[in-house]
Amino acid sequence: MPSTLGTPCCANCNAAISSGDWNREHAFCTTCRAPLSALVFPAFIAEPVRAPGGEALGEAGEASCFYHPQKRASVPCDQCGRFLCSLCRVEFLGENWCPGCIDTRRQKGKLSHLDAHRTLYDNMTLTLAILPAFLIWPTIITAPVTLFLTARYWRAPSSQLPRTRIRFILAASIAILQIAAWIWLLLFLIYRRR
Amino acid sequence: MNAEPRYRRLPGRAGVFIRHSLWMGPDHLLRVRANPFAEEYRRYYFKDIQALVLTELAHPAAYFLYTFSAFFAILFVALISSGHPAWATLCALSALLLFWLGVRIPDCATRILTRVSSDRLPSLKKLPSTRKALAIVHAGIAQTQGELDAAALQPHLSAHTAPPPAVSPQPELHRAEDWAHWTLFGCMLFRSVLILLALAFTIRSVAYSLLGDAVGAAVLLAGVLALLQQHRAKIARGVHWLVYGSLLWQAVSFVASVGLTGYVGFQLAMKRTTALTMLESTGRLYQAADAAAYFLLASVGIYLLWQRRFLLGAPPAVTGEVTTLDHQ
Repeated sequence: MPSTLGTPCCANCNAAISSGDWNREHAFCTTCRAPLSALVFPAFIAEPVRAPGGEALGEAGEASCFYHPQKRASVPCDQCGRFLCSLCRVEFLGENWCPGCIDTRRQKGKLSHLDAHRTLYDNMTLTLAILPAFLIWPTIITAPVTLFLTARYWRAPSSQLPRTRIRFILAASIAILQIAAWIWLLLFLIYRRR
Repeated sequence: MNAEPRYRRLPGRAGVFIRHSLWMGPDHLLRVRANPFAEEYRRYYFKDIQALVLTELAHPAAYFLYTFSAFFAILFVALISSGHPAWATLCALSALLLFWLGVRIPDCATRILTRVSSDRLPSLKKLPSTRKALAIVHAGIAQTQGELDAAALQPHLSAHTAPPPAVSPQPELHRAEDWAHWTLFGCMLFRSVLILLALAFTIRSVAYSLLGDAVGAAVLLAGVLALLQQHRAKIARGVHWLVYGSLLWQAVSFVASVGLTGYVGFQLAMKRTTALTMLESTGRLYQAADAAAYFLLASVGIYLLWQRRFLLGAPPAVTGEVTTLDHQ
Protein backbone atom coordinates (compact mmCIF):
# COMPACT_ATOMS: atom_id res chain seq x y z
CA MET A 1 0.00 0.00 0.00
CA PRO A 2 1.55 3.36 -0.91
CA SER A 3 2.12 5.70 1.97
CA THR A 4 0.00 8.79 2.34
CA LEU A 5 2.11 11.93 1.98
CA GLY A 6 1.22 14.71 4.33
CA THR A 7 0.09 12.44 7.14
CA PRO A 8 2.22 10.47 9.58
CA CYS A 9 1.71 6.78 8.79
CA CYS A 10 2.29 3.59 10.71
CA ALA A 11 5.69 2.22 9.68
CA ASN A 12 4.26 -1.30 9.68
CA CYS A 13 1.00 -1.06 7.71
CA ASN A 14 1.13 2.50 6.29
CA ALA A 15 -2.22 3.39 7.82
CA ALA A 16 -2.62 7.04 8.77
CA ILE A 17 -2.05 7.76 12.44
CA SER A 18 -4.87 9.71 14.01
CA SER A 19 -3.95 13.16 15.29
CA GLY A 20 -4.86 12.19 18.84
CA ASP A 21 -1.90 9.81 18.85
CA TRP A 22 0.70 12.33 17.73
CA ASN A 23 3.50 13.09 20.19
CA ARG A 24 2.17 10.55 22.64
CA GLU A 25 4.59 8.21 24.29
CA HIS A 26 2.38 5.12 23.98
CA ALA A 27 -0.09 4.74 21.15
CA PHE A 28 -1.38 1.92 18.98
CA CYS A 29 -2.01 1.76 15.25
CA THR A 30 -5.73 1.61 14.69
CA THR A 31 -5.32 -0.84 11.81
CA CYS A 32 -2.53 -3.27 12.72
CA ARG A 33 -2.61 -2.49 16.46
CA ALA A 34 1.15 -2.31 16.69
CA PRO A 35 2.53 -0.07 19.44
CA LEU A 36 3.90 3.11 17.90
CA SER A 37 5.06 6.61 18.64
CA ALA A 38 4.72 9.46 16.17
CA LEU A 39 6.90 12.52 16.72
CA VAL A 40 5.43 15.44 14.82
CA PHE A 41 7.44 18.65 14.38
CA PRO A 42 6.51 22.27 13.62
CA ALA A 43 7.41 21.80 9.92
CA PHE A 44 4.28 19.70 9.69
CA ILE A 45 1.99 22.68 10.20
CA ALA A 46 4.21 25.32 8.58
CA GLU A 47 2.84 26.81 5.38
CA PRO A 48 4.98 25.98 2.33
CA VAL A 49 7.08 28.88 1.09
CA ARG A 50 5.93 29.90 -2.39
CA ALA A 51 8.70 30.87 -4.82
CA PRO A 52 8.17 34.34 -6.30
CA GLY A 53 7.51 34.30 -10.01
CA GLY A 54 9.71 37.27 -10.84
CA GLU A 55 8.61 40.77 -11.79
CA ALA A 56 8.20 41.84 -15.39
CA LEU A 57 10.44 44.58 -16.75
CA GLY A 58 8.88 47.97 -16.13
CA GLU A 59 11.02 50.61 -17.76
CA ALA A 60 13.57 50.53 -20.55
CA GLY A 61 17.12 50.36 -19.25
CA GLU A 62 16.32 48.14 -16.29
CA ALA A 63 18.62 45.18 -15.78
CA SER A 64 16.97 41.96 -16.89
CA CYS A 65 17.46 38.39 -15.82
CA PHE A 66 20.07 36.40 -17.77
CA TYR A 67 17.72 33.46 -18.14
CA HIS A 68 14.47 35.41 -18.51
CA PRO A 69 15.09 38.60 -20.51
CA GLN A 70 11.54 39.80 -19.93
CA LYS A 71 11.91 39.71 -16.11
CA ARG A 72 13.54 42.27 -13.87
CA ALA A 73 16.89 41.25 -12.29
CA SER A 74 16.94 41.32 -8.50
CA VAL A 75 20.40 39.98 -7.55
CA PRO A 76 23.63 38.94 -9.26
CA CYS A 77 24.92 35.37 -8.96
CA ASP A 78 27.68 35.29 -6.34
CA GLN A 79 29.67 32.84 -8.48
CA CYS A 80 29.46 34.07 -12.09
CA GLY A 81 27.93 37.54 -11.67
CA ARG A 82 24.99 36.94 -13.99
CA PHE A 83 21.84 38.91 -13.19
CA LEU A 84 19.06 36.80 -11.82
CA CYS A 85 15.37 37.37 -11.33
CA SER A 86 13.75 36.19 -8.12
CA LEU A 87 12.61 33.02 -9.89
CA CYS A 88 16.15 32.02 -10.91
CA ARG A 89 17.86 33.01 -7.70
CA VAL A 90 18.82 29.98 -5.59
CA GLU A 91 19.82 30.53 -2.01
CA PHE A 92 22.57 28.04 -1.46
CA LEU A 93 25.16 27.88 1.31
CA GLY A 94 24.25 31.40 2.36
CA GLU A 95 24.84 32.88 -1.11
CA ASN A 96 22.85 33.63 -4.25
CA TRP A 97 23.61 31.12 -6.98
CA CYS A 98 22.26 30.73 -10.49
CA PRO A 99 21.02 27.28 -11.62
CA GLY A 100 23.81 27.12 -14.20
CA CYS A 101 26.57 27.46 -11.59
CA ILE A 102 25.00 24.79 -9.40
CA ASP A 103 24.68 22.43 -12.32
CA THR A 104 28.24 23.01 -13.54
CA ARG A 105 29.81 22.60 -10.12
CA ARG A 106 27.75 19.56 -9.44
CA GLN A 107 28.85 17.92 -12.69
CA LYS A 108 32.46 18.64 -11.79
CA GLY A 109 31.94 16.99 -8.42
CA LYS A 110 32.74 20.18 -6.55
CA LEU A 111 29.52 20.32 -4.59
CA SER A 112 29.72 17.49 -2.16
CA HIS A 113 26.60 18.83 -0.46
CA LEU A 114 24.53 17.66 -3.39
CA ASP A 115 26.20 14.34 -4.20
CA ALA A 116 23.77 11.46 -4.08
CA HIS A 117 26.28 8.80 -5.06
CA ARG A 118 29.95 8.10 -4.48
CA THR A 119 32.08 5.31 -5.89
CA LEU A 120 34.44 3.71 -3.40
CA TYR A 121 37.57 3.32 -5.50
CA ASP A 122 39.65 2.37 -2.48
CA ASN A 123 37.50 -0.71 -1.89
CA MET A 124 37.72 -1.55 -5.59
CA THR A 125 41.51 -1.40 -5.63
CA LEU A 126 41.78 -3.40 -2.43
CA THR A 127 39.51 -6.10 -3.84
CA LEU A 128 41.51 -6.08 -7.05
CA ALA A 129 44.69 -6.53 -5.04
CA ILE A 130 43.43 -9.34 -2.81
CA LEU A 131 40.98 -11.54 -4.72
CA PRO A 132 43.16 -12.44 -7.75
CA ALA A 133 45.96 -13.39 -5.34
CA PHE A 134 44.06 -16.57 -4.54
CA LEU A 135 44.49 -17.66 -8.15
CA ILE A 136 48.10 -16.34 -8.29
CA TRP A 137 48.43 -16.02 -12.11
CA PRO A 138 45.96 -13.15 -12.65
CA THR A 139 48.10 -10.94 -10.43
CA ILE A 140 50.52 -10.46 -13.37
CA ILE A 141 47.83 -8.18 -14.80
CA THR A 142 45.88 -7.07 -11.74
CA ALA A 143 48.86 -5.86 -9.68
CA PRO A 144 49.87 -3.12 -12.17
CA VAL A 145 46.21 -2.28 -12.72
CA THR A 146 45.80 -1.90 -8.96
CA LEU A 147 48.76 0.45 -8.82
CA PHE A 148 47.38 2.46 -11.74
CA LEU A 149 43.92 2.74 -10.16
CA THR A 150 45.43 3.75 -6.83
CA ALA A 151 47.39 6.55 -8.48
CA ARG A 152 44.47 7.54 -10.71
CA TYR A 153 41.86 7.79 -7.96
CA TRP A 154 44.04 8.80 -5.01
CA ARG A 155 42.57 12.28 -5.06
CA ALA A 156 39.12 11.36 -6.32
CA PRO A 157 36.33 12.19 -3.89
CA SER A 158 35.68 9.17 -1.75
CA SER A 159 32.92 8.50 0.71
CA GLN A 160 31.18 11.46 2.31
CA LEU A 161 31.51 9.67 5.61
CA PRO A 162 34.67 9.76 7.71
CA ARG A 163 37.17 7.55 5.90
CA THR A 164 40.96 7.29 5.66
CA ARG A 165 43.11 6.25 2.70
CA ILE A 166 44.30 3.09 4.44
CA ARG A 167 42.61 0.87 1.83
CA PHE A 168 44.50 2.60 -0.98
CA ILE A 169 47.75 2.21 0.94
CA LEU A 170 47.05 -1.47 1.63
CA ALA A 171 46.09 -2.14 -1.99
CA ALA A 172 49.20 -0.41 -3.30
CA SER A 173 51.42 -2.27 -0.82
CA ILE A 174 49.94 -5.62 -1.79
CA ALA A 175 50.28 -4.79 -5.49
CA ILE A 176 53.92 -3.76 -5.05
CA LEU A 177 54.62 -7.01 -3.20
CA GLN A 178 52.97 -8.99 -5.99
CA ILE A 179 54.99 -7.17 -8.66
CA ALA A 180 58.18 -7.70 -6.64
CA ALA A 181 57.39 -11.41 -6.34
CA TRP A 182 56.88 -11.70 -10.10
CA ILE A 183 60.14 -9.86 -10.82
CA TRP A 184 61.95 -12.09 -8.37
CA LEU A 185 60.49 -15.20 -10.03
CA LEU A 186 61.42 -13.94 -13.48
CA LEU A 187 65.01 -13.19 -12.42
CA PHE A 188 65.22 -16.53 -10.65
CA LEU A 189 64.15 -18.36 -13.80
CA ILE A 190 66.56 -16.38 -15.99
CA TYR A 191 69.57 -16.92 -13.75
CA ARG A 192 68.69 -20.53 -13.18
CA ARG A 193 68.70 -21.18 -16.96
CA ARG A 194 72.18 -19.63 -17.28
CA MET B 1 32.34 26.01 0.27
CA ASN B 2 33.46 22.58 -0.86
CA ALA B 3 34.40 21.38 2.60
CA GLU B 4 32.61 18.12 3.22
CA PRO B 5 30.20 18.24 6.13
CA ARG B 6 31.27 16.32 9.20
CA TYR B 7 29.03 13.43 10.03
CA ARG B 8 28.42 11.54 13.23
CA ARG B 9 27.21 7.98 13.04
CA LEU B 10 23.87 7.30 14.67
CA PRO B 11 23.15 3.98 16.40
CA GLY B 12 21.66 1.24 14.24
CA ARG B 13 22.74 -0.60 11.15
CA ALA B 14 21.25 -3.13 8.79
CA GLY B 15 22.28 -5.41 5.97
CA VAL B 16 25.29 -7.55 5.19
CA PHE B 17 26.16 -7.01 1.54
CA ILE B 18 23.92 -3.95 1.10
CA ARG B 19 24.41 -1.97 4.28
CA HIS B 20 22.19 0.79 5.59
CA SER B 21 23.24 3.41 8.10
CA LEU B 22 22.19 6.81 9.35
CA TRP B 23 24.49 9.77 9.94
CA MET B 24 23.95 13.12 11.56
CA GLY B 25 25.30 16.18 9.78
CA PRO B 26 25.37 19.80 10.96
CA ASP B 27 21.92 20.60 9.58
CA HIS B 28 20.67 17.36 8.11
CA LEU B 29 20.30 13.65 8.47
CA LEU B 30 22.12 11.46 5.95
CA ARG B 31 20.72 8.08 5.03
CA VAL B 32 23.39 5.88 3.45
CA ARG B 33 22.83 2.76 1.40
CA ALA B 34 26.15 1.16 0.64
CA ASN B 35 27.37 -1.82 -1.30
CA PRO B 36 31.08 -2.72 -1.17
CA PHE B 37 31.94 -0.44 -4.09
CA ALA B 38 29.54 2.50 -3.88
CA GLU B 39 27.42 4.55 -1.53
CA GLU B 40 24.09 6.24 -2.15
CA TYR B 41 22.97 9.18 -0.06
CA ARG B 42 19.70 10.73 0.86
CA ARG B 43 19.57 13.92 2.89
CA TYR B 44 16.79 15.03 5.20
CA TYR B 45 17.28 18.59 6.36
CA PHE B 46 16.17 19.23 9.92
CA LYS B 47 14.02 22.15 8.82
CA ASP B 48 12.11 19.90 6.41
CA ILE B 49 11.42 16.92 8.67
CA GLN B 50 7.75 16.86 9.56
CA ALA B 51 7.45 13.66 11.54
CA LEU B 52 9.25 10.54 12.70
CA VAL B 53 7.21 7.41 13.29
CA LEU B 54 8.48 4.43 15.25
CA THR B 55 6.38 1.27 15.11
CA GLU B 56 7.19 -1.75 17.23
CA LEU B 57 6.99 -5.04 15.39
CA ALA B 58 6.31 -8.38 17.03
CA HIS B 59 8.07 -10.82 14.75
CA PRO B 60 7.16 -14.37 15.75
CA ALA B 61 10.18 -15.87 14.01
CA ALA B 62 12.50 -14.17 16.50
CA TYR B 63 10.94 -16.01 19.45
CA PHE B 64 11.27 -19.27 17.57
CA LEU B 65 14.86 -18.66 16.65
CA TYR B 66 15.85 -17.74 20.21
CA THR B 67 13.94 -20.71 21.62
CA PHE B 68 15.53 -23.19 19.27
CA SER B 69 18.91 -21.57 19.74
CA ALA B 70 18.59 -22.14 23.50
CA PHE B 71 17.37 -25.66 22.82
CA PHE B 72 20.44 -26.42 20.69
CA ALA B 73 22.68 -24.89 23.34
CA ILE B 74 21.23 -27.24 25.98
CA LEU B 75 21.56 -30.13 23.55
CA PHE B 76 25.18 -29.12 22.99
CA VAL B 77 25.90 -29.38 26.72
CA ALA B 78 24.13 -32.75 26.90
CA LEU B 79 26.05 -34.12 23.91
CA ILE B 80 29.40 -32.86 25.19
CA SER B 81 28.82 -34.48 28.56
CA SER B 82 27.73 -37.74 26.93
CA GLY B 83 30.83 -37.84 24.71
CA HIS B 84 29.52 -36.93 21.25
CA PRO B 85 31.84 -34.11 20.16
CA ALA B 86 30.89 -34.15 16.47
CA TRP B 87 27.17 -33.81 17.12
CA ALA B 88 27.88 -31.32 19.89
CA THR B 89 29.83 -29.12 17.47
CA LEU B 90 26.98 -29.27 14.99
CA CYS B 91 24.53 -28.28 17.73
CA ALA B 92 26.75 -25.41 18.87
CA LEU B 93 27.01 -24.09 15.31
CA SER B 94 23.26 -24.41 14.87
CA ALA B 95 22.67 -22.55 18.15
CA LEU B 96 25.00 -19.75 17.09
CA LEU B 97 23.45 -19.52 13.63
CA LEU B 98 19.90 -19.43 14.99
CA PHE B 99 20.85 -16.85 17.60
CA TRP B 100 22.51 -14.68 14.95
CA LEU B 101 19.44 -14.95 12.72
CA GLY B 102 17.23 -14.05 15.69
CA VAL B 103 19.32 -11.00 16.46
CA ARG B 104 19.04 -9.83 12.86
CA ILE B 105 15.25 -9.90 12.78
CA PRO B 106 13.88 -6.36 13.15
CA ASP B 107 11.72 -5.55 16.14
CA CYS B 108 10.73 -2.09 14.97
CA ALA B 109 10.33 0.01 11.84
CA THR B 110 10.92 3.72 11.47
CA ARG B 111 9.54 6.15 8.93
CA ILE B 112 10.55 9.74 8.26
CA LEU B 113 8.08 12.21 6.78
CA THR B 114 8.88 15.39 4.88
CA ARG B 115 6.64 17.49 2.65
CA VAL B 116 7.72 15.55 -0.44
CA SER B 117 8.61 12.11 0.84
CA SER B 118 7.74 9.44 3.34
CA ASP B 119 10.62 6.99 3.61
CA ARG B 120 11.60 4.10 5.76
CA LEU B 121 14.88 4.24 7.65
CA PRO B 122 16.12 0.67 7.27
CA SER B 123 19.03 1.02 9.69
CA LEU B 124 16.68 1.74 12.58
CA LYS B 125 15.29 -1.75 13.08
CA LYS B 126 16.18 -2.55 16.68
CA LEU B 127 14.33 -0.80 19.48
CA PRO B 128 17.19 0.16 21.83
CA SER B 129 19.39 1.62 19.08
CA THR B 130 16.39 3.26 17.38
CA ARG B 131 15.35 4.99 20.60
CA LYS B 132 18.88 6.31 21.08
CA ALA B 133 19.08 7.50 17.47
CA LEU B 134 15.67 9.15 17.58
CA ALA B 135 16.58 10.99 20.77
CA ILE B 136 19.65 12.46 19.05
CA VAL B 137 17.71 13.35 15.89
CA HIS B 138 14.87 14.81 17.92
CA ALA B 139 17.32 17.11 19.70
CA GLY B 140 18.74 18.27 16.33
CA ILE B 141 15.30 18.95 14.90
CA ALA B 142 14.12 20.71 18.03
CA GLN B 143 17.17 22.96 17.83
CA THR B 144 16.23 23.94 14.28
CA GLN B 145 12.43 23.98 14.41
CA GLY B 146 11.64 24.15 18.10
CA GLU B 147 9.02 21.99 19.76
CA LEU B 148 5.52 21.64 18.43
CA ASP B 149 3.02 23.54 20.52
CA ALA B 150 -0.29 21.75 21.06
CA ALA B 151 -2.16 25.03 20.73
CA ALA B 152 -0.52 25.73 17.36
CA LEU B 153 -1.48 22.29 16.20
CA GLN B 154 -5.14 22.57 17.17
CA PRO B 155 -6.41 24.38 14.03
CA HIS B 156 -4.74 21.79 11.78
CA LEU B 157 -6.12 18.72 13.50
CA SER B 158 -9.44 18.51 11.73
CA ALA B 159 -7.65 18.16 8.40
CA HIS B 160 -5.43 15.36 9.66
CA THR B 161 -7.82 13.26 11.66
CA ALA B 162 -7.32 9.70 10.50
CA PRO B 163 -10.22 8.29 8.53
CA PRO B 164 -11.96 5.33 10.06
CA PRO B 165 -10.17 2.13 9.07
CA ALA B 166 -11.60 0.11 6.20
CA VAL B 167 -11.58 -3.06 8.26
CA SER B 168 -14.54 -3.85 10.43
CA PRO B 169 -14.08 -2.94 14.08
CA GLN B 170 -12.51 -5.76 16.06
CA PRO B 171 -13.51 -6.66 19.58
CA GLU B 172 -11.33 -5.57 22.45
CA LEU B 173 -9.17 -8.21 24.10
CA HIS B 174 -11.14 -9.88 26.81
CA ARG B 175 -9.08 -11.18 29.64
CA ALA B 176 -10.83 -14.55 29.50
CA GLU B 177 -9.93 -15.15 25.86
CA ASP B 178 -6.48 -16.48 26.56
CA TRP B 179 -7.30 -19.02 29.25
CA ALA B 180 -6.50 -21.97 26.94
CA HIS B 181 -3.05 -20.50 26.30
CA TRP B 182 -2.35 -20.09 30.00
CA THR B 183 -3.49 -23.69 30.54
CA LEU B 184 -1.37 -24.94 27.67
CA PHE B 185 1.82 -23.24 28.80
CA GLY B 186 1.16 -24.10 32.45
CA CYS B 187 0.70 -27.79 31.60
CA MET B 188 3.82 -27.73 29.44
CA LEU B 189 5.82 -26.25 32.28
CA PHE B 190 4.45 -28.84 34.68
CA ARG B 191 5.23 -31.65 32.24
CA SER B 192 8.81 -30.45 31.79
CA VAL B 193 9.26 -30.40 35.59
CA LEU B 194 7.87 -33.95 35.82
CA ILE B 195 10.28 -35.20 33.16
CA LEU B 196 13.24 -33.45 34.78
CA LEU B 197 12.38 -34.94 38.18
CA ALA B 198 12.07 -38.40 36.62
CA LEU B 199 15.46 -37.95 35.00
CA ALA B 200 17.15 -36.58 38.10
CA PHE B 201 15.84 -39.19 40.57
CA THR B 202 15.33 -42.10 38.13
CA ILE B 203 11.67 -42.48 39.10
CA ARG B 204 10.13 -45.65 37.63
CA SER B 205 6.75 -45.58 39.34
CA VAL B 206 3.69 -46.54 37.29
CA ALA B 207 1.59 -43.87 39.00
CA TYR B 208 4.18 -41.25 38.11
CA SER B 209 4.16 -42.39 34.47
CA LEU B 210 0.37 -42.21 34.41
CA LEU B 211 0.48 -38.69 35.85
CA GLY B 212 2.99 -37.70 33.16
CA ASP B 213 0.78 -39.19 30.44
CA ALA B 214 -2.28 -37.38 31.82
CA VAL B 215 -0.44 -34.08 31.77
CA GLY B 216 0.76 -34.87 28.23
CA ALA B 217 -2.84 -35.45 27.16
CA ALA B 218 -3.84 -32.18 28.85
CA VAL B 219 -1.11 -30.39 26.91
CA LEU B 220 -2.44 -31.80 23.66
CA LEU B 221 -6.03 -30.89 24.53
CA ALA B 222 -5.09 -27.38 25.66
CA GLY B 223 -3.01 -26.94 22.51
CA VAL B 224 -5.96 -27.82 20.28
CA LEU B 225 -8.27 -25.53 22.29
CA ALA B 226 -5.76 -22.68 22.13
CA LEU B 227 -5.46 -23.20 18.38
CA LEU B 228 -9.21 -22.91 18.00
CA GLN B 229 -9.45 -19.97 20.39
CA GLN B 230 -6.68 -17.82 19.03
CA HIS B 231 -8.43 -17.25 15.71
CA ARG B 232 -11.02 -15.16 17.50
CA ALA B 233 -8.95 -13.64 20.29
CA LYS B 234 -6.50 -10.75 19.90
CA ILE B 235 -3.42 -12.46 21.25
CA ALA B 236 0.21 -11.59 20.51
CA ARG B 237 1.36 -13.11 17.25
CA GLY B 238 4.33 -14.70 18.99
CA VAL B 239 1.93 -16.69 21.16
CA HIS B 240 0.13 -17.91 18.04
CA TRP B 241 3.39 -19.29 16.73
CA LEU B 242 4.30 -20.82 20.06
CA VAL B 243 1.03 -22.74 20.02
CA TYR B 244 1.83 -24.01 16.53
CA GLY B 245 5.34 -24.83 17.75
CA SER B 246 4.13 -26.75 20.78
CA LEU B 247 1.73 -28.82 18.67
CA LEU B 248 4.48 -29.45 16.15
CA TRP B 249 6.86 -30.48 18.89
CA GLN B 250 4.29 -32.87 20.32
CA ALA B 251 3.90 -34.44 16.88
CA VAL B 252 7.67 -34.72 16.45
CA SER B 253 8.07 -36.08 19.94
CA PHE B 254 5.35 -38.67 19.34
CA VAL B 255 6.86 -39.80 16.04
CA ALA B 256 10.34 -39.98 17.61
CA SER B 257 9.13 -42.07 20.56
CA VAL B 258 7.19 -44.43 18.29
CA GLY B 259 10.18 -44.74 15.97
CA LEU B 260 12.57 -45.40 18.84
CA THR B 261 10.30 -47.98 20.45
CA GLY B 262 9.70 -49.66 17.11
CA TYR B 263 13.42 -49.80 16.36
CA VAL B 264 14.28 -51.28 19.76
CA GLY B 265 11.42 -53.78 19.45
CA PHE B 266 12.74 -54.86 16.06
CA GLN B 267 16.26 -55.24 17.42
CA LEU B 268 15.00 -57.31 20.37
CA ALA B 269 13.02 -59.46 17.97
CA MET B 270 16.28 -60.08 16.12
CA LYS B 271 17.76 -61.10 19.54
CA ARG B 272 20.16 -58.14 19.68
CA THR B 273 20.06 -57.25 23.36
CA THR B 274 22.45 -54.30 22.98
CA ALA B 275 19.37 -52.38 21.85
CA LEU B 276 18.28 -52.17 25.50
CA THR B 277 21.44 -50.26 26.40
CA MET B 278 20.86 -48.00 23.43
CA LEU B 279 17.27 -47.48 24.55
CA GLU B 280 18.48 -46.45 28.01
CA SER B 281 20.95 -43.80 26.78
CA THR B 282 18.89 -42.53 23.86
CA GLY B 283 15.77 -42.51 25.97
CA ARG B 284 17.39 -40.22 28.53
CA LEU B 285 18.60 -37.93 25.78
CA TYR B 286 15.16 -37.88 24.22
CA GLN B 287 13.55 -37.09 27.59
CA ALA B 288 16.04 -34.30 28.25
CA ALA B 289 15.30 -32.79 24.83
CA ASP B 290 11.58 -33.14 25.47
CA ALA B 291 11.83 -31.43 28.86
CA ALA B 292 14.02 -28.64 27.46
CA ALA B 293 11.67 -27.96 24.54
CA TYR B 294 8.58 -27.93 26.78
CA PHE B 295 10.28 -25.70 29.30
CA LEU B 296 11.50 -23.18 26.74
CA LEU B 297 8.25 -23.00 24.79
CA ALA B 298 6.26 -22.68 28.00
CA SER B 299 8.55 -20.03 29.50
CA VAL B 300 8.47 -17.86 26.39
CA GLY B 301 4.72 -18.31 26.06
CA ILE B 302 4.02 -17.38 29.68
CA TYR B 303 6.30 -14.39 29.41
CA LEU B 304 4.53 -13.15 26.27
CA LEU B 305 1.09 -13.63 27.79
CA TRP B 306 2.18 -11.92 30.98
CA GLN B 307 3.77 -9.05 29.05
CA ARG B 308 0.65 -8.57 26.96
CA ARG B 309 -1.65 -8.62 29.94
CA PHE B 310 0.27 -6.70 32.58
CA LEU B 311 2.96 -4.64 30.88
CA LEU B 312 1.47 -3.32 27.66
CA GLY B 313 -2.17 -3.69 28.45
CA ALA B 314 -4.70 -4.34 25.77
CA PRO B 315 -4.53 -2.15 22.67
CA PRO B 316 -7.44 0.20 22.29
CA ALA B 317 -10.44 -1.03 20.40
CA VAL B 318 -11.08 0.51 16.99
CA THR B 319 -13.79 3.03 17.55
CA GLY B 320 -13.77 4.84 14.23
CA GLU B 321 -13.06 8.54 14.11
CA VAL B 322 -10.70 9.99 16.69
CA THR B 323 -11.10 13.68 17.30
CA THR B 324 -9.73 14.26 20.77
CA LEU B 325 -6.36 15.83 21.33
CA ASP B 326 -4.18 14.23 23.96
CA HIS B 327 -0.82 15.88 23.77
CA GLN B 328 1.84 16.06 26.37
